[in-house]
Order: sequence, then C-alpha cells, then structure tokens
Amino acid sequence: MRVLDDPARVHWIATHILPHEPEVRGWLRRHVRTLGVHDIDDLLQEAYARLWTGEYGHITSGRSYLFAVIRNLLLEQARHARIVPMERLGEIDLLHIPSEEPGPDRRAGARQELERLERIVADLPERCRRAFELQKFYGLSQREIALEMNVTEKTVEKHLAVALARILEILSEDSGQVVERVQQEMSSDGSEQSRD
Amino acid sequence: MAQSNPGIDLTAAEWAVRLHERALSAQEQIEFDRWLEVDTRHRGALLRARALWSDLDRLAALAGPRNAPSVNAERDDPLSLLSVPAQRVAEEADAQTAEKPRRADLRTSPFKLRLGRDQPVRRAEHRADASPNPVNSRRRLLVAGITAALFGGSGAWWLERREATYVSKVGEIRRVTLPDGSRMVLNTSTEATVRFDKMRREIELAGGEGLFEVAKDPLRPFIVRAGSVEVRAIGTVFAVRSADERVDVTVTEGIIELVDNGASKNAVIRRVVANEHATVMETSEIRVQSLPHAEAERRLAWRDGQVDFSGESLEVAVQEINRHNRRQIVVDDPALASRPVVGLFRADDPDGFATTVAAALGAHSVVLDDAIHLRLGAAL
Repeated sequence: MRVLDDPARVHWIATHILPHEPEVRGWLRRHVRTLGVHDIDDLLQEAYARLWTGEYGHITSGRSYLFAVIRNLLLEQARHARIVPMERLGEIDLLHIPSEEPGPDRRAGARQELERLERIVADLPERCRRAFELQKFYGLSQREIALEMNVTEKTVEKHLAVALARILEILSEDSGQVVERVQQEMSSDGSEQSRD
Repeated sequence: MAQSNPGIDLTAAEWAVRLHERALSAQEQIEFDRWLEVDTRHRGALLRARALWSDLDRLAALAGPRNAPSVNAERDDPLSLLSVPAQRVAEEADAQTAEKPRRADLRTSPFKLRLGRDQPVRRAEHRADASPNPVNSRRRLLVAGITAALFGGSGAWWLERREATYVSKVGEIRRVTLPDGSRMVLNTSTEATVRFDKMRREIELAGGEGLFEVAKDPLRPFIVRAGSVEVRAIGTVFAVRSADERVDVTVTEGIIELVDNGASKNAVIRRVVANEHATVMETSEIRVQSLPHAEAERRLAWRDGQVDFSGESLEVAVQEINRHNRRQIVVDDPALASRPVVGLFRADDPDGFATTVAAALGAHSVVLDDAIHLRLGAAL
C-alpha cells in the first residue's frame, strides 16, 4: 500500500503520534545523554518509517507505541554496535515509559503549540510567511496564492516548503541550520522569483 | 550519498507540500520514488512532514478563521496576549488604536533572538506603516477566547484574592496548574501557599523545592518567597529550593530578579538569567554561577521522579535520595561516602539505588531496622 494514497494514515499519525514527539525527544535528550541531536532525528525518522506500512488500527495509545518503538530501536542499535558503551545499556534499562498526566499537560501543550506557531510564523521570511498565512489561515489554494502574490506556483510551493521545513526544524529543536541555508538560497535567487 | 538530517527535512517538506495539493507529474513521480528508495529514513521524514502539514490545518483552525487577507496585520506580542485573561484582552482590543506600551523588553523570545539578519527590521517598518486593523482585533478576541477555553476560563477570577496551600508528602511530586495558567511542580515534602490577586501573583515556599513555569503577564509580577529571599519573574522557568538555611535558585528559561531582604538594611537585588544558578546564604551573600543548559535541566530531573548524578559524592547522592523516601540509606564507611556516583536513578526506589551503587563501587548493602546500610566489600 502506498502511503500517499492513504490520507487516513497521515491523519492518524498527525493525531496520535506527532503530538508526542516533543515529549519523546525531551525524554531522550534528558535520559539518554550519549545521544546527539542527529541521533535523535535518526531515531524519530526510523520510528515514523515503521508506520509506513502495516496496521495501525489496533494501536490504542500512540504515545506508548512511539515510546516502545524508540526503545526497541535503541536496543537494536545497542545489539548491532560492536562496542556498546556501558552507559547506554544502563540508560536503556531506565527507558520505562513515563506515566501520562493528561490534564494540565495536555492543555499546556495546546497553548504552547499555538504560541509556538505564532512565533514561528512571525519569524518566517516575509514572502514565506505570507504564502503560509494565505494557505493555512485564509484557505487559498496554491494557484490563488500565486495570483495574489504575483509569482509562479512553483515559487509558492517553495515558500510553503520552507515554512514547513522551519516548523519541522523547530519541532525537533535543531540548531537552525535548515532555515539559515534556505534563507540564503532564497535571498540569492530572490530576484528571479517575481514574475514581473 | 546520504543526506544530512536538515537536508532530509527540507526535501521531505517539499514533497509533503506538493502531495498535499496535487498529483505529481510523471517526472516528479520518478524523482520521488527514487528519493524514497535511497534511505528508509526518508519515508519516516516524509510521513512526519505530511502529518505536520495536515496538522497545521487543525492549529490554524484553532487560531480562528480570518476573512480578508491582511498581509501586514499588526502582530506585536502575540505571546503575552496568550496569557492575558480574556476580559483584559477585550479591553485592549477596544483600545487598539491607542499606542500600546512597549513590552518588547519585558518578555523573552528565543525565536526572535535566533532570527538574525534584516528581517525583523523590515517587518517593523511595515508595522509602523500599517493602519490599525479590525481583522486583527477580532483575532485577538478569538485567541483570547481559546485561551480562556483551554484554562476553563472562570469569569473574572483575577478580581478575587485567592489563597491556597499545597503540600507534597515525602516522596511525592505534586503538579499544580495555577489559575493564570502557570505551572508549579512541588518536589518531595514541600509546602507552598499561593496568593493571587489583581496586582500580583505570590507564592510562599515554606520549605522544600518548587519548579515554576510562569505564564507571561507583565502587569502582574510573579513572586516566589522563601524566607527573606524573593524571586521575581515575568515569564520564565525556574526552581527554588529552600533548605539548610540557604536558598538555591536555578533558572532554565528567561530572567528572574533575586531580592534578599535579609541581614543587611538595604535589600540586595541581583539578576539571574537562563542557565544560571544562584545561592543565597544566610549571610545574605549571593553567589551566581553559570551552568550549561543540559546541567540546568539535569538539576530538574526530579520533575520526572528521577535524580541525576554526574560525579557527586555518594554522601551527597544518598542525602538526595533520602529526601524522597521514608526508607533511609546509611553509608557506613567514610571511604565509600566520598566515592563519585554517576547515573540516573528513580527517586522513589532506595533499594534499586543501593543495589546499583553497591555493584558499581564494590560495596554491598544490608538492611537493618528498615534502613539500608552500604558497606565496603563484597556481600557475605
């Protein structure tokens, strides 16, 4: 089954897995101190890749599932590594799934999400921000945005992709490399993007 | 060649945006299939990007519908807005045309600091040119409404003066959401009294340790008192520990102001910023040291019911574990007590701690009168 023909799966991931990603990352950062940022990115990408095919209907808690997958990936890595740092083995044993506290945490989560989105959008490059707002807040299609902004649809796509990459990056609290690079690219060929 | 992680995310974002909107062209389909085959991580990255892109529709809906495109909508300070009660925002919205007080210096925005280049300046110019915008006012109300809904907005709560005392038992970690949306986490055997009114938010720590995630409200300072020491914050995350005639403050986000009204006639005031640790001794001496962020976070591992040691002596580590449990650990050999302890332990499991430490340090543990004794040498 091709995942791109399966919007239900994407929706399920968005509602059941994605919200727990920051917690899992924070947990990994705090508790498996031998992991670097990119190790954590790799782990998360692997974890998502395991949802590419296969049944997900039986998974009752996306959070437990994500923690379990991450834990197994860590154990697999430890088994395959020729030299396993003692520290890491000890750490994996401590990776019991933290108990869930639905009330205040959830609500603070929703508030923080909104705050974050506001901040991220405000800090996007001007044209990126505009394309993003026109699509997500005003519901325009890419074609309509292209007309509104007087650029090609391809450029709109590029602006939107930069916005999404930025949000992905901030979700993983990375060091800011993607956006800086993209901003450089955009400003260096910015003049070609207008369709005068 | 394998792509770096940030590169993967950007490529994944491009495909996610395309797939969300339209069918791929034949040429794109070939490129897309090839990209997916190169590395299994690409599939994960794509799923994640697609999930996030579709999830943004939900968040955008949460922020409220907007009718007319308004590119230069004023966007000063969406942050503090989110933490101000609905009623106050409504008043502010009415007074939108009046000049707003400058709040930029009162809040901390890590994203702003990170941006760099000329973007913010350009936007500021736009903002200065933009006339007051009705869409924006409505949006403020909507956002405020959502905030009120999220926190079960209960009328004009800030008009009343409220007082409540929270106590955590030995070994208990207690989490409390305060009426303004701030969060308080009490470590083992801690007592905190919360007094909120229209003018200020005050918390009195009678003993123990508390972590505070402060909702931004520049009009009402958030003050934690521990004896003669006051910690004032506007919107920040910090922990205060009051024990053994000293007060320790660790800040992980934002800035706080430390005020000591103790020994000397004049209050001593000191600023403490993120990733700094301050100690106020009984002599009113304030010592501030900076910490790597990871270290500051480490000191707050108790939030998750854990204690994290990175080379503290066994003596110190045992004191810390003992704070959390009725069942106490005793180190019988002084030579053992000075050995370093490294690792992450559950705060509520003294037996587990003793077993692990004994194995690591070549010691053994014996239970006598419900206390765990650690002694040098192998078990008998």
